[in-house]
Amino acid sequence: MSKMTDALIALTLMAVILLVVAYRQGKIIEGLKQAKTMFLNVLPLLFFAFIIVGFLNLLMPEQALRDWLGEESGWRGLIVGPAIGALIQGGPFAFFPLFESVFRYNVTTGTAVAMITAWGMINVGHLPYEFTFLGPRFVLLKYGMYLAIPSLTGLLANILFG
Amino acid sequence: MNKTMLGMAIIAIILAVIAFFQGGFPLVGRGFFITGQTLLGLFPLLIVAFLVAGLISILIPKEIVSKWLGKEAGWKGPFLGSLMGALVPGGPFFFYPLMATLIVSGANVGTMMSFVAAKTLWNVARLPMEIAFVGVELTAIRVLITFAIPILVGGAVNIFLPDYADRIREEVKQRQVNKFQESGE
Repeated sequence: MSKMTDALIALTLMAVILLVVAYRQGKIIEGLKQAKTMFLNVLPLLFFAFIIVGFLNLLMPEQALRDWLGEESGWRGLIVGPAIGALIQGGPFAFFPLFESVFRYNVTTGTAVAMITAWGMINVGHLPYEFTFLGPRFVLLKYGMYLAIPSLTGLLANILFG
Repeated sequence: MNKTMLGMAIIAIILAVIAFFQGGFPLVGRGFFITGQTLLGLFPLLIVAFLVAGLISILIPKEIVSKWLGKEAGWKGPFLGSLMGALVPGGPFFFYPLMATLIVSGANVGTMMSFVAAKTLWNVARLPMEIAFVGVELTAIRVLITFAIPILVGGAVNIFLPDYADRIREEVKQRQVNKFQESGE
């Protein structure tokens, strides 16, 4: 909740500054129209995005994910860990407490780094937004490049700090 | 109804059907209840986010975007894109439309890949949370190991995939043009 309030405050400040600038440049009507157009265009897509993210949240079986990781050994944690990280939904206020209570003490440093990195970089909950605003080619590029990175960061962490 | 919306509607329906088989109508109802709750809870944030995105798209001079985030920026581009990602507030419903706006205004696609990587890896607003829950040591290791990634991925796209990046830009532009035409009708 407080993360959302922070974001609301920060964005409101930005909006106020931009409104003042737009007013001084005489572009305020144009800006508001543009905002309205963008908003109305994506509203139906956002509606579906929220349904998808809501159901992902509801259906994600935490117990099954924990069992899946199990007693990780060597390579397994570096592959399964990031996959779980990518599936866990919610912002930092949802993810970090869950990670700390459920996973942290069963995994190596490398798997921990890989999970946190995967949750941020290849989170499946971002896919609806990425398709909506940037299209399939961007999604292909992003996931093509990012997919292996969490496992590699985990491997590096295990080598350097394991 | 474009392809993206059709695809997302299908995924939403599939998820609802899975929920039905797992817990019948009560579970499906809860899914939609969560959706409604999220939508209502985020509504003020959404309004402000789109106000900002809309105003930026009108106010931001294309020369500046292209100078700092576009082709002219060279290696500075991915670095500045990452810095922006570390500082920009807001969730995916805000920063993805912002990325689209910047790409249409001339930002390099690679630089936006840096932006989105840094949004999660360098995010300054998230670090206190991370430290609070997983501790200083693991956070320090995580930051150290992932530090170069945003700049490397963006630089790699700008250098090795300029043609594909141009196709992405065309696709993003096309989406906006279509939308404006639809809205003009």
